[in-house]
Amino acid sequence: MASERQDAWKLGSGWNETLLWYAKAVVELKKLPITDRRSWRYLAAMHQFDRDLWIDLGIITATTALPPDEDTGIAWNQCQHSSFYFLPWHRGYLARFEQIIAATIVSIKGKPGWKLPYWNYLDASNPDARKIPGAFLEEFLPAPDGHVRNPLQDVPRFGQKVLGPEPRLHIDDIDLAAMDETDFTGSVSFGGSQTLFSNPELGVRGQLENVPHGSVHVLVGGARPANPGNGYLSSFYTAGLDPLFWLHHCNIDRLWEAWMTKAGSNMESGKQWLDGPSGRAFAVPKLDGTDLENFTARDTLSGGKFHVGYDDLHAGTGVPVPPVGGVVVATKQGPARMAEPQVIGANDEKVVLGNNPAETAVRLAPEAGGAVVAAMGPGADMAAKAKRLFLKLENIRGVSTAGGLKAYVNLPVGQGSENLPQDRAAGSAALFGLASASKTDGPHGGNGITLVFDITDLARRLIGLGDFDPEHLRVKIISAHEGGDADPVTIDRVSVLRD
Amino acid sequence: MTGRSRYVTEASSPFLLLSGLAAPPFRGPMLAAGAGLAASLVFDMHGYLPLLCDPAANHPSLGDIVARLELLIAINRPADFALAWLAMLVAMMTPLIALPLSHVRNSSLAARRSRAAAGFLLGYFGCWFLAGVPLFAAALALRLMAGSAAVALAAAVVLSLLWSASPLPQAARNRAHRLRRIGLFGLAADRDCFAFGATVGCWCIASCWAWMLVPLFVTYGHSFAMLAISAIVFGERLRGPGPVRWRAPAALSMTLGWLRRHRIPDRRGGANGYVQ
Repeated sequence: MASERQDAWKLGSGWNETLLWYAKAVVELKKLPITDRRSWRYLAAMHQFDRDLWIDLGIITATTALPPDEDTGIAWNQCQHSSFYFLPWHRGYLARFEQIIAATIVSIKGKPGWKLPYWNYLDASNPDARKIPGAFLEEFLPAPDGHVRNPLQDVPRFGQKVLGPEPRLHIDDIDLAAMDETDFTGSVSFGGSQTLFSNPELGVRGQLENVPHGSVHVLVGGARPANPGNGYLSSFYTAGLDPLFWLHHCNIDRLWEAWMTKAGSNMESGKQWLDGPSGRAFAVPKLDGTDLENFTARDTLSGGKFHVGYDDLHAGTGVPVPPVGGVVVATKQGPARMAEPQVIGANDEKVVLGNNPAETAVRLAPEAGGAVVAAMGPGADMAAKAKRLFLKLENIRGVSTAGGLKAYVNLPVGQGSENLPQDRAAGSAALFGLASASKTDGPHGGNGITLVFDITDLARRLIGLGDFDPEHLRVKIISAHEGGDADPVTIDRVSVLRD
Repeated sequence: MTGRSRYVTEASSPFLLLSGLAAPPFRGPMLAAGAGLAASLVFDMHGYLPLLCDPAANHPSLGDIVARLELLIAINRPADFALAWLAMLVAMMTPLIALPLSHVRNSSLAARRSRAAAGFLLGYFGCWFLAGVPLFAAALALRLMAGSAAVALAAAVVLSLLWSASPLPQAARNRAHRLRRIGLFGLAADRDCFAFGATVGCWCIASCWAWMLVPLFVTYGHSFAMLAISAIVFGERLRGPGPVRWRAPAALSMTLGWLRRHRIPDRRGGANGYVQ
């Protein structure tokens, strides 16, 4: 088998050897009790676990014996989101999962060296890239195991089988815009804001975590009301139970690896990130399941025990292949180059989103508003032009498992809610993990999701059109979620930031 | 396949935690807490303490307590009591509000950040300040019932551990982590900062009130007791939000965790697989 992770689509369509052995290993791990650290359910609970929800979904029963608290207190409910630990934690989680699958394959007479494939959905050179790899759609394993349910398919998925925009949830098409962020850490960054292990007061999603990560979760898992149900991939609590989760995150991990080779990327180097988090350490099961083992972000970088290579860091990553004779860029580490953006404007009231769109007025502070218009208008000097403008949606909360949301700025007056012009769109997001992030006793402390959209180009266009009144920006937000008017999504504040 | 794990810890390196506290957003609040502690230490501000923890005054009657209270009020200005209580609050509570304070500052216009922080602090310490009256009354009642200062101290520690283990302080702490929108302009912004501070303050009181009784019964080493209790309530807050249930109090689990890291043979030197 290969020594590097490979594109699932390039391993052969349908039941290729890698995915067939993956399926067989999942069958074995599903047989193990949840008290076994290598079991399918234990590994999924490391992401996040809710006993009542798992009982409701039939994943466990009320009498299922769980591991002791001293074990689950260390290993379960670790998933890092809206944090600069998002990428390293998932990398360590993936690496140990991969090793457990590989060991299981050997135990059932397969070959050693199995590597987790990645789902390279943004590979423009592959017409099938956006399709879920075929093995995840077959109901049964191939002969001679044709009577065995295929565990790669046997999981609730209600969304798309071919990735694309989902207008019913107001989720735009996935893209590689996140790869253009130059700083790993920050409230506007590639990797997420600096946080502790638990990040209720500090967390802001990194751009990669928003798109394509969050979008693919919800597009494939599906969410009401656009789909008949909320799939496992749409929730923090169940995502790890879908075998496709691991191929999706493998691609997200590859995008991080590719981003680090991109000219201009500025990787985190602080001790709190490298050796943290302080307060609670990350842990994975030992390979034989007899114990747990700590790891840090340092372990996930090149040379670390959880760093794994990829066959290709260019296809579907937006990172160009260096010219023949060119020099491969070495990873640069250092403090963020962009200063933390400062708030310069905000709306006056909490936004409530039921079934209908909501419109809110954002006012910029007079001096700052004037400066924005001057800097983004014609004749501005280069230094001022380089500054970016952001729309921030703070503390989006809701009881819905997931959903979608899209924001517009200064839509033409009298514009209805249909066929809204894309050139006024500020950004869109899949609300992956909304209910979990909104739970008061969950790791996000009920503070929900905070999103930041880059509206620099949009503001320039509006200023050029003479349609940018800093005293009164009209922000329209449209959302689809199962709570509807009875359990609306709320947004504490809509603000404008400038670097 | 699961069993007691000797090598793995819930906590990370204490040195990393300490270095994190020396950086923003913790640095400013930690310095303020240090100043509060130093003020308590240098100016010997806690003149009311003998009332509660005088070891020579065992089994005081209600009349004794009232007479001594009257004497204390007669020879001390109310401002002295207020200042002493405030110094104790600043020393013990400021680290707890580093993150909400950071939210307030980051959510405000650059020119208004100091004003926003002041509004938040006013709300937060205002609540705690008022809570001093019932807390002091509770301490007096405990002193009366316990008879001796040593028994009162032991009772306060046991009460605090029981309270910490119960689901109620976790429920309060969960709410103390909840952020609130901060307006950007005018009086609405001031109101939001004050209200946020008051809300966090009330949930903090609900979570920490029992622990705040403990230093009141310690005369010698009062400042050390403040520091220790401060570390406990800060550790409880750093555990973050979580399920509302009975659990080992942070004071015990932190101590046991430290012992496991430092006293169990072969725990050091990368035994847990760290790349050093």
